[in-house]
Amino acid sequence: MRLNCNINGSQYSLVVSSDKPLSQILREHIITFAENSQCLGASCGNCMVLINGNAALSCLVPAFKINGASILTFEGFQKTRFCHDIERAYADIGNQPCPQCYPSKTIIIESILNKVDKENQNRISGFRIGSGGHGEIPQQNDSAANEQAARSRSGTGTISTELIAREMSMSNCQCIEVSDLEKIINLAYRYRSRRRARRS
Amino acid sequence: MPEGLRSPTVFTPKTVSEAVANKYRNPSARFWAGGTYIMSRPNFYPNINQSDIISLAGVQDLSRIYHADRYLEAGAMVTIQQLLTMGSFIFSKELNNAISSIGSSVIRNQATIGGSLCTGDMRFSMSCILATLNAQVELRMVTKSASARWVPVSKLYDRKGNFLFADSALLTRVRIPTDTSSQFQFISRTLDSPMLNPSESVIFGLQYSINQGSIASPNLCITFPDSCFYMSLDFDNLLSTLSFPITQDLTVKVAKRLVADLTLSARQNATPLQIERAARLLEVVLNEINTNYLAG
Repeated sequence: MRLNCNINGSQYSLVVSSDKPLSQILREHIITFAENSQCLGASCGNCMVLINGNAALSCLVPAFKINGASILTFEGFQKTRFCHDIERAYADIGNQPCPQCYPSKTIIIESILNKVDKENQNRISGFRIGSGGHGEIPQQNDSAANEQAARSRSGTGTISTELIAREMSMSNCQCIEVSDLEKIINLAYRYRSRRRARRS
Repeated sequence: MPEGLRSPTVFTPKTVSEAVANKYRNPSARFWAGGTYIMSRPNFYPNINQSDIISLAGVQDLSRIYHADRYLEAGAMVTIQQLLTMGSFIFSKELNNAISSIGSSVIRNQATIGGSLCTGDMRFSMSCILATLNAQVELRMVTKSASARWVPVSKLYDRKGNFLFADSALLTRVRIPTDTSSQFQFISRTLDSPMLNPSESVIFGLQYSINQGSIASPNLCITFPDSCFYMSLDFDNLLSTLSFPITQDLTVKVAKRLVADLTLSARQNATPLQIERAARLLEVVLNEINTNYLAG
């Protein structure tokens, strides 16, 4: 099948088998793709990419699903300011993932930050959109939610260890402690929130 | 593309009827929901025997969620993450924890409810959770008339955990009871990762209520991902005879009975570790229920 997609900002038109995993397409056609996954679909977590802004394991995405999609590999993500927040947090905490899992862990951290951002925006706006298209469900306007929203606006909120441990379970490499990751993620989130506050 | 390998044709139906018609005309084609299970199989690609694909992503009807007073109805293409988001308003905390333990959000964003119930030879947490809750699914039969029928999740599998409707039906909707006024309580535990370590993983689910000092209407489901799907009316009846306080001797006796049952039910490749783990999980859960009851 003919596949048109945007990879790291460049438009590609490729002829590939419709069920070919994205990881193989990237490895064969994008020379700079640095992922080092050799698990062939066993969820080692090293082939993480961002597809339309959402983190996904490229070995679990077939070619026919990415027609028209925008794909950002770690090489592309490294050039964005979002990556600089995370790299700054690595430097400040004095710890970072090993070279083997550095790209995948950084992208997982980005997806956690996106997820928390989205949740906080939903809280701030006061309601959350239902996922099935049957209208929207009013969110509880309780004081805890408002407090969390206020914390996130000021960039002083914290992201739970449980959430981090669960999300990081995608990457099998244990090169970095969850407690350090927690500090890194919270710091990166604070940098991001401050920049956003400055801009607004 | 490797020599001799043909690119599978991808059908993109827009309605359920169209999807069923595609399957009826191409019996060898397979339905494609999230793809997390299919693509994580060893040697998925390149494979000379790849069959055509019916992608269900474009079927809008399969992505809807509807909430009524007594149940939540989700289309088969609703992702686990969407169910979790919706469920945070509706489901109990224990149920939400059970659903969120299915995997990280990267997997939950891609895996669908329908796909997680219809995997051919492996049972993951979703089937155990939904069977415990007495959820029902709508099946569209792959026939010319495409007739529909509702069946309980527990009837989708045989005792060895094989999916019984692999090529004969399309799962379109799942109906999960959410009657908050009922006194039912739900407990779920998963040991080890069903995806990464299926030969040691155990998935345990129990729904029950307490009536006049004894366990009432228990519904127990135990799953070993690649070798067993255990639900037994006899065993549920045994649990319903337990009255508080449940003594340690009684707990051990019930666990021993479970070991005997599982040894008979499970496939040859069920490991002794899995059977032992299931029995210990039952003991722990019974102790927990007992403690909670006695603590008031």
